[in-house]
Amino acid sequence: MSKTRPIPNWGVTASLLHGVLYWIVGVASMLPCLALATETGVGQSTAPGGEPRSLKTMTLDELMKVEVATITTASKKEEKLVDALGMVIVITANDIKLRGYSTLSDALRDLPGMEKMDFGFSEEGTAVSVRGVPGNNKLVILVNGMRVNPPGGENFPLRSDFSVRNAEQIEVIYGSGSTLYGGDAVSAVINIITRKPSDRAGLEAGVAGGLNNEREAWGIFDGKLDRAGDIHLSGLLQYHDSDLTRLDKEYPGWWADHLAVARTKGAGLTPDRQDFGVNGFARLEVGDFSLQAWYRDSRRSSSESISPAFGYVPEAIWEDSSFVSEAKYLARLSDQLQLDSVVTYNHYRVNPTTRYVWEDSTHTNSWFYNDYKYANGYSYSVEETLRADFTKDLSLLVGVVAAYYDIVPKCTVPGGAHGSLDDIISEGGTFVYYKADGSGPYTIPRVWHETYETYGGYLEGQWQVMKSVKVIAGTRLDDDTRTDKVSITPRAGLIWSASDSLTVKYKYATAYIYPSPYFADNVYQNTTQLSTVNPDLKAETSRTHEIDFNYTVPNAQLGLALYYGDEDNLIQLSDRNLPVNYVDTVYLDPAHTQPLYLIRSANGGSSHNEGLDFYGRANIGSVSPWFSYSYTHFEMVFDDMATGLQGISQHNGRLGMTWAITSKLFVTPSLVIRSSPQNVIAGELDNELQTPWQVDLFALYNLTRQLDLFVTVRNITDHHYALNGVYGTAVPQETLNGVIGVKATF
Amino acid sequence: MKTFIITQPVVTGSAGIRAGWRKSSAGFLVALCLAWPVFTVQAAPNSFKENEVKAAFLYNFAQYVDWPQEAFPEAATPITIGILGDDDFADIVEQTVKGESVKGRSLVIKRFHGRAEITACHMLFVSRAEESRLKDLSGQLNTAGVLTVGECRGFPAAGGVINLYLQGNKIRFEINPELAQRKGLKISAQLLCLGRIVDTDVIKEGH
Repeated sequence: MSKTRPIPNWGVTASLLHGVLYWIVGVASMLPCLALATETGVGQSTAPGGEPRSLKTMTLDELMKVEVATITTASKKEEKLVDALGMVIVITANDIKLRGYSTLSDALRDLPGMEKMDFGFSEEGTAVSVRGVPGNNKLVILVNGMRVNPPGGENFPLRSDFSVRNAEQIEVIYGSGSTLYGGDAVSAVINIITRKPSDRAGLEAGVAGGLNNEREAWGIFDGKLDRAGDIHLSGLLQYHDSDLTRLDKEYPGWWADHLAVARTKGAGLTPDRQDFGVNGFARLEVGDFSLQAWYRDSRRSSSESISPAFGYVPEAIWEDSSFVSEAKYLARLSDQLQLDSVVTYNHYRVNPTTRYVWEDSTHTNSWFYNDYKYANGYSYSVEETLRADFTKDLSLLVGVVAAYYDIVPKCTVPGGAHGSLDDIISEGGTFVYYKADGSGPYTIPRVWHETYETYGGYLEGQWQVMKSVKVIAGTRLDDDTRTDKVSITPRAGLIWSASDSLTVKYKYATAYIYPSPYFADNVYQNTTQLSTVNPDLKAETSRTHEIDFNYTVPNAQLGLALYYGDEDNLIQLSDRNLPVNYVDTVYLDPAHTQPLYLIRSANGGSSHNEGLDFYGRANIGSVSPWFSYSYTHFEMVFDDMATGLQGISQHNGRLGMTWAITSKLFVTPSLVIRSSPQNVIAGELDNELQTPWQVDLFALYNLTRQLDLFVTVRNITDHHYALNGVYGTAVPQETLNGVIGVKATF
Repeated sequence: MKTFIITQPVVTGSAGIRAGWRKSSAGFLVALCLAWPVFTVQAAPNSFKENEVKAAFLYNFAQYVDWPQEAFPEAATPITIGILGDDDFADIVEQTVKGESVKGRSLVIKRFHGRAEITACHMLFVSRAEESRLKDLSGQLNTAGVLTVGECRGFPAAGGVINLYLQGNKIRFEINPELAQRKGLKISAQLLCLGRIVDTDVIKEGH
């Protein structure tokens, strides 16, 4: 067993405290300058392309384009950004338009404290870590408050099939958030608010195309269906496809390792890569009733990030899809009471054609093509939320939720899955093994099927104690029919409006991850391991302490968040190779000639992260810059071992600006820079792991009121760099790429 | 027995801490340098407080509405804007219109804390806090020559002429031109073009 160092590590804590103090002093020294620079009175603004001016000099037409900072995600009610608990970042429709974001993954690129690895692993697509904590399964993603995470607890598939072109704004709530959103809300809750229907029927259509055969087409529609304007219909359809960077040409040294394997297999000599996605959304509103549905489907090479042992061949495909729909009715019971009733259906499926194609010594002249994967899960949930506004200063939120799950988690079906569930279970067959004591045979079904229910209730109050002080406190209880233990996830906070410009907040929040089938029923076999189910898996829990400083003046916004988070009872996936994963050494045959390690996902260890996010944005004449700097320290402790950031950078920064060159031409260059990712296994790409950075450029030209032309250039300097992949090895990133497009609005 | 090894160990010590400290310091200085130009020139906001924008809307409404001649007994009679139920908002409106004039008339703000306090004014803003008492305000809302502006659900049905509301993160307004005409107010076509027209018949039908 490897011991790296004893714990606790007070040195790191002391270093962090020094760093925090340093930052506080630095920020404090800047605030007076900011105040002096921006002391220009109430309601100043800059129209794109214009000089700074006051709101009162604007025409009505201009005023109607001004954005008001309100959000709904942090407290499940409309509130001003500075009144929301914790660190909240809002990406507006204007940001999306002027920075050229097409997908949610694009938008996450510029968020403080977040790091994304676009090709971290085929199953999840873009792997996102937040404040040093990895795991797409620790993000809760909402569309208009409708949860779209796969119901089986899978990593959120973040690929090119999540368009934000129809988003009014994207609200990002950092830190634990299970009190209002239930399981999995460990790192962040991200809510994509789609455009509200306008009074006039509208249609937007766009196409784009460019290098690497990248193509995108989308259409957005909305309109009212009746004279009174009570019935609205809106929607989106987006298609995206790309061949991606030619890794063999851009990273020849790295590709040589793959080629050495591919030559022995006679296929995969040139990389067959793809990135295909479609996304659809429709929403019908009839007064206080709404019905919405969201669909995504995407496909990538299943060999991403695990070459050279896996082949970049056409057969190596990972494809999955989601369909989520929700019916919601808002009942206004009285002036003080309103009741939200929501029914949600959520379906996630891994296409049966999905498979890994990998090197197998028993197939000397061919890859192993028979590792087909399959998953199919759905859930129904009902949620009732009652909001009582007793007075202007006192409100209460009470909610109850019940959900039913029917899940086939990711599994292996040799030959591929066909027919009904019973057929697929039969096709999957069983893994058979024998124990060292001679007993056996023992069997594990390859296809696991599980149904269960969850029940939860939450309550949260907000009290404006005095004009400048608001207190928030709440808690939640969740029960799962598979376990005896009830998850309790409280949160509390205090918001102090120190002045018109400065708000100080403290937040304590908690979260949990239930042992979803994706973890608990993780059945597979490889050349050395046989993974079995673990019915005793327990929930993983997390807590966040956060202090936020928000300085907002009519001219600029500045934020500083200092946080400390910890998680315990960590769910360690079976392939982590930790002692807790090990169950036994077993054999595939009664003669004991083919040994395997019997493993399973299990609870073990704890982790903590601490750091800061410093961020701001402003408008200076015709320029709107933004920046952020984030520092994070992460440590996972297991028994007497400790590991640090898992392929993640300790420092990351962003700098960008939108420049309105004329009233019709907007140019947005942006930089993302990181310190070297930590704990990446040494290899071919070591040099390209040093301080990875990327500069992007987006330009938009309003040809007419109805027609926009745009150019997106990603990695404009053609800088080659690498980030961490799923197995801790460096993975090459996309090089220079660009598209041009046109968007028409009717 | 397989030996299980965590594949990504971290080795830190005092040297590592010092290196981290240097990196942290360097990162801070870089961020400070990058950020400094932002804060040493006059900047402008990306988004605003809701009430600041609404105050600017009120100021604009005053420019796009013609009151009946008898509403101004003297040439120097100011335009009076009454704010019901929200002194904080009244402060913002006051600051917004300070030193400004509309068609040669100055603007004056009055603060009302209940129906009983409401006195003569040209524009009456009814805050969200009054939503539950809209029915009690019918007399004030129907007063001739008063442009009533609100921010409440049900305001048009209660007799309000203009209602401000949020659509996404932008402020919109709905307007009842027929009611305005009945009250003797002339609304400019530009105002009507930008607002959502509320049909009195539709209100009566209970939509």
